[in-house]
Amino acid sequence: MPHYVVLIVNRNPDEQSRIAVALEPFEVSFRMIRVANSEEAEREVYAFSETEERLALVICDEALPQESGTSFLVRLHQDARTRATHKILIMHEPDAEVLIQAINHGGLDHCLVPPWNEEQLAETVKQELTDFILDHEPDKLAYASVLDQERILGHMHEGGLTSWDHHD
Amino acid sequence: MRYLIAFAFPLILWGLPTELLGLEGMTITQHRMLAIFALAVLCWVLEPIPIFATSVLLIFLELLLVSSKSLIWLRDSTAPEQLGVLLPYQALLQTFASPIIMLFLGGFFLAIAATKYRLDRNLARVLLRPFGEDPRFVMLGMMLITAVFSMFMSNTATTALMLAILTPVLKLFHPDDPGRDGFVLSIPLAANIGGVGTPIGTPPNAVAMKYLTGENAISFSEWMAFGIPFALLLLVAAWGLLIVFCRPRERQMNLVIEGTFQKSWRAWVVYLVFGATILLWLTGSFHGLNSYIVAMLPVSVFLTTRILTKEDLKLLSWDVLWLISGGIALGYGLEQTGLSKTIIAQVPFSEFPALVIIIAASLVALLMSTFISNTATANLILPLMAALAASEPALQALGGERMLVLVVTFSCSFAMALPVSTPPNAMAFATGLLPSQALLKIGALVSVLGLGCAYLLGWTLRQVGFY
Repeated sequence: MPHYVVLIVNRNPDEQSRIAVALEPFEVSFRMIRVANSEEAEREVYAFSETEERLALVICDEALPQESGTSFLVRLHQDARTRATHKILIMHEPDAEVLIQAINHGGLDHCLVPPWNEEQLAETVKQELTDFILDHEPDKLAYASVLDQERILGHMHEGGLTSWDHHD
Repeated sequence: MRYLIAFAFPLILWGLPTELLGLEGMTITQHRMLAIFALAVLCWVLEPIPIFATSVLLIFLELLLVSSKSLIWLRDSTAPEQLGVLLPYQALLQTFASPIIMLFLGGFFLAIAATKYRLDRNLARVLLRPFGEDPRFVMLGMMLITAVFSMFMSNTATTALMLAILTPVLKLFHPDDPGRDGFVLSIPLAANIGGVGTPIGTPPNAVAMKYLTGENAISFSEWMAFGIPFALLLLVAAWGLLIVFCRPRERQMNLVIEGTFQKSWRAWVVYLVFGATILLWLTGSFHGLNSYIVAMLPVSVFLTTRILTKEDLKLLSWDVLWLISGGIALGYGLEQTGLSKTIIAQVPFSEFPALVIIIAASLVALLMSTFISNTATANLILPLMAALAASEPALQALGGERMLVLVVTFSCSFAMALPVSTPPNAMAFATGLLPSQALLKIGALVSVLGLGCAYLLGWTLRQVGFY
């Protein structure tokens, strides 16, 4: 069972399916949760935070039904359980003020604005998940085949080997 | 279940009356040591606990049961002649800091500093240039560099570095190109092979050094004098196999390794100390410092110049050091209590030709280390080999302890048919680029070739009068 979860918050079914295409390569190692609004998202997050699973990444749309994506990210960032979670925001038009708010108070890691394609998103997700795994997962090698291999191997070479449980 | 078997069986063995074991002349300490040995075998094979934890547990149990300061009820109640030899507790505790451990510590310091100052990556960049852009020769170059690095760094760290360099380029290969498998495979094979080149190349060598003392002693330069040609021979053979079975279809490849040599004074100190340490290791007979003392050079210089800091100390693989310590302590216990001789005496080895004994021993080592840690295999087998070689005149004629210990040690390093055989294999496998059949086929072939080369080496050293 995957230990890590990726949460996608987006009310637009078309965009959800585009995101799903981009995330397909990661489904072997990460559990995907897709929801349409922040309320549902929050319910999911608190449901599995009681278990061993951790939220590795959230991909959130700025335009959500009840509140903005940014204010949801800010709440996630204030919660100790999801502070380390990497956060990607999808905006429909660049808005500096919103962006500043998301970066300063929501711990935003990456922002996508149109036109973005599936490949771009896949690469962004790969890098964010690699960052997360390098920081939090002892058995990094298990993720080498899906995430950024070069960075994971490089990290292991440069001293991440202490947690490496095997011997010559 | 694994826990139960690993811990219950040795306990039962300990509980049995000594006479019931049917081993003539067995003392009580030998009996206790036998139970400890059984625990070592079971724990290292079944791995209910981490293998280095087993090592520490072995040392503790030896202190508790068979040392001069063991539990008072365990040593005062019986007559000394029945009790047998009690091991000095200092000797057991000293295994944590035995000269061999210090030699490895020196090696770790070199490796950590080289990595921190990017010496390894930059060397790889420069050394790879002469091999051009023909994938076949790039592969040979990668293998040579991997092998040479793994003589001084851990095989695993070397594999991580070289695979990190390699993977971006491999993405450009056509998915059906057999050269892709070949390249991914070449790195762990070369790392495993390179490990035999120096005493610090891989932990089984350290365990072997324990048995190569006194009149059987082998110096660092002597080891390299046969280890490096031996590794090169096998490496070229492995390359040949890869070229035959996984011939790259790509005509051209360009490995880009970015970076420049750092030029700060600290970086220079790293380069100089690296060179000086190796030079001093090679010239021991000239200046009189043995390899253990030379190993303290990088340790003290890197710490006094703050090239390595408190934070870097945390990167040391203490688990590897303790794994070796446990092996040394186990060997010491088996030898000093006389248990290894008693065990060896149970099998009428003199009825077999010496050659059969050598081949059987190396095959057992190879098979065991295919499935369990190479170091644990060396820890378990080498003490018995040392006792065997000392007691068999037929083996003495072929080179005795030196020969048998070396051949078996190399056999431990040549298990490379499965992903679990060695960490470099596991790492290459985890990239997802390597089909397991390719590893099984070529890894097994190289294993067998390695055994053949080990016999050849054993024979050659005899011919040149090394033993």
